[in-house]
Amino acid sequence: MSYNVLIVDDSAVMRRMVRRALAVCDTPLGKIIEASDGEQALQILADAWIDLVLTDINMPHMSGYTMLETMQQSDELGAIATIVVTSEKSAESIERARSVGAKGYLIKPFRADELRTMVENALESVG
Amino acid sequence: MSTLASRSVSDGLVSPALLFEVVARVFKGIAPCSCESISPEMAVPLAGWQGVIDFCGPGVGSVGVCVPTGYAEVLAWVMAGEEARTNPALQADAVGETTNILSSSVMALLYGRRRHARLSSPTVSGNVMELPSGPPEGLTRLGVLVDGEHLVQVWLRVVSSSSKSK
Repeated sequence: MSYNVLIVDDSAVMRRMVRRALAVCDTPLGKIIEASDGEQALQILADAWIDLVLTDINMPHMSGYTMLETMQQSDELGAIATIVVTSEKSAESIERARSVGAKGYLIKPFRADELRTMVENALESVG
Repeated sequence: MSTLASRSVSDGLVSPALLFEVVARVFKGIAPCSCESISPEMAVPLAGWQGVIDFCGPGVGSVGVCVPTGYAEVLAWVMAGEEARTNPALQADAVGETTNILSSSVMALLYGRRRHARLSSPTVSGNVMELPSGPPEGLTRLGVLVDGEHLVQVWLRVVSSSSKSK
């Protein structure tokens, strides 16, 4: 079984960085799709089967928080493993991400092995 | 550290040592670097990119990172791979993300992780001529020597601080 991943970040450089880090994960990965904000991500989630969402918080049009809140309100989307990848370090932000269902919180800059561990844990947590 | 930060901010001037600690932490993952405090006269315009982020609450101010074109290529390459190296849009994006990461680290050190500061999206400009000037109050400048070669400039301006109410 392979997992389809959606990377959500308004920075093209950061999306590439996450993609490169995912390439060294042991977890079998299927399609890796990119979105530049929460709104675009929700459109993709409505059309494609996604197992894991890696999302930034501060983005134009729709933030990562709003996107996660919207996902949480849906039985289907709420079951998807989500990890927040952000430079935001405050305890308030970490708590808010948890409250909207994030299974992991990764602070930029991150190492590939940190992302790998978090991806494995997040996928395990949703079975 | 938070005591040092609070004192520095309430004095209206952030200690170069404090800023150095944050800058070194962010840049060390890319290449060996050293930092030095620089005066307004030493802060020279560079041919390259400048990323600026404004912050608000607890304090108000801005963080800026000035990166010469050659080093922006290195940043883009380290972050996004070889194909990003010669892509100006990705170079600017890499400078913006670096400014973003640096700003978050500066906020955490200045105000602690319990207090939340709102950060603007990074504004990246190819015009590095407009370096902040004026009186030194609240303005800290650092030069970052990376691999002993490229001089990156980092500046932090604290316009106002709520640290007195702590």
